[in-house]
Amino acid sequence: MSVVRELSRALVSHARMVMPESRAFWTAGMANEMAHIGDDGAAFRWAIGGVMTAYLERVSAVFGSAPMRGLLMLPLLFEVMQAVFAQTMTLAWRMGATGVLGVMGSQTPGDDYHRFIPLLQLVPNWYVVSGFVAGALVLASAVQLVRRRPSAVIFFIAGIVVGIVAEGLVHTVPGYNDAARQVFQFKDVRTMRDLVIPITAQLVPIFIAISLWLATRGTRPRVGAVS
Amino acid sequence: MGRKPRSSKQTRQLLAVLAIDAARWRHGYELSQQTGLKSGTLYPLLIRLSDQGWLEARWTEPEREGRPPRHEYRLTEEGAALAREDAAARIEQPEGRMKGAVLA
Repeated sequence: MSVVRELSRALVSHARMVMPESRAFWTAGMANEMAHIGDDGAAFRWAIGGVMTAYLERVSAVFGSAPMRGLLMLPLLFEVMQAVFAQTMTLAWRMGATGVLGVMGSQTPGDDYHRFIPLLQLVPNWYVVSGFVAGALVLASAVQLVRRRPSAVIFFIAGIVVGIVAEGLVHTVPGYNDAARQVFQFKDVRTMRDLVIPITAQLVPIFIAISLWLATRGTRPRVGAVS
Repeated sequence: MGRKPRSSKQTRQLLAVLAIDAARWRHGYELSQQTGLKSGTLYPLLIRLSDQGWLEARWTEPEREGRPPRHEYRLTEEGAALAREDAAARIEQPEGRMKGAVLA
């Protein structure tokens, strides 16, 4: 037996170990099928596919489990909060709810809402609405995650896209950029506040989208679906 | 019966091949060659179709002695009906747009 064939067999054995027990039928089928492939190179490529399938199913099984889906709710709810935070602050300011503003301001860098006033004055109504729409879409994604529906990914991406588009458009509002510079410019530079948190905030949605896909792809095996 | 599968290009490719003489059982490698899908793409699709009740699978004895038994796959009646509807929808929309199609 050639080295390539040996390697292919080792890969398929590995795939059988990785594959969740409930899916063992499929790796057994892939492994046996390889014995019917004459060409060593084709058999090797087949084995690589077997390993990929096994890992995909394993990771999906982990992400699809109830505890993992529960854990995934945390970054999702964080995204909801991020989508509606500025909008809620704007509404609170317009309604004169200084108590709410004080609490929300204390959660921001600088611990005070007063420095946001130039921005709160400029924010258009459509931007406020867009934030709540984005938040609602991400919340719908969370609901779909609980139900383990693949549309969780679509709702989440839609919410993020609405947020990104609104964020891009609001910069075209006259005076907004100057006000934003005034609000978000700090005298000192802090690695955590100015680098780590902003970069992480950009990466989190990508991580969430991949996790949602893994958690909701396919459905639970139907008993008797395979013989 | 499971929900209708999402219409990825690969899913439609696989359904189209399985729909040709839908009653016939096919091996995994044969399906891979007919669809042009690599095993790492093909099997997750087969698993998903099976989960949703569109595909049935079985073990079969090998044609040649000394070889291990093989898996065979074919569409269930519901799966075949779904594949036919999908094919009809694509004929109605030749640009490949899946708006209103069964699998959309």
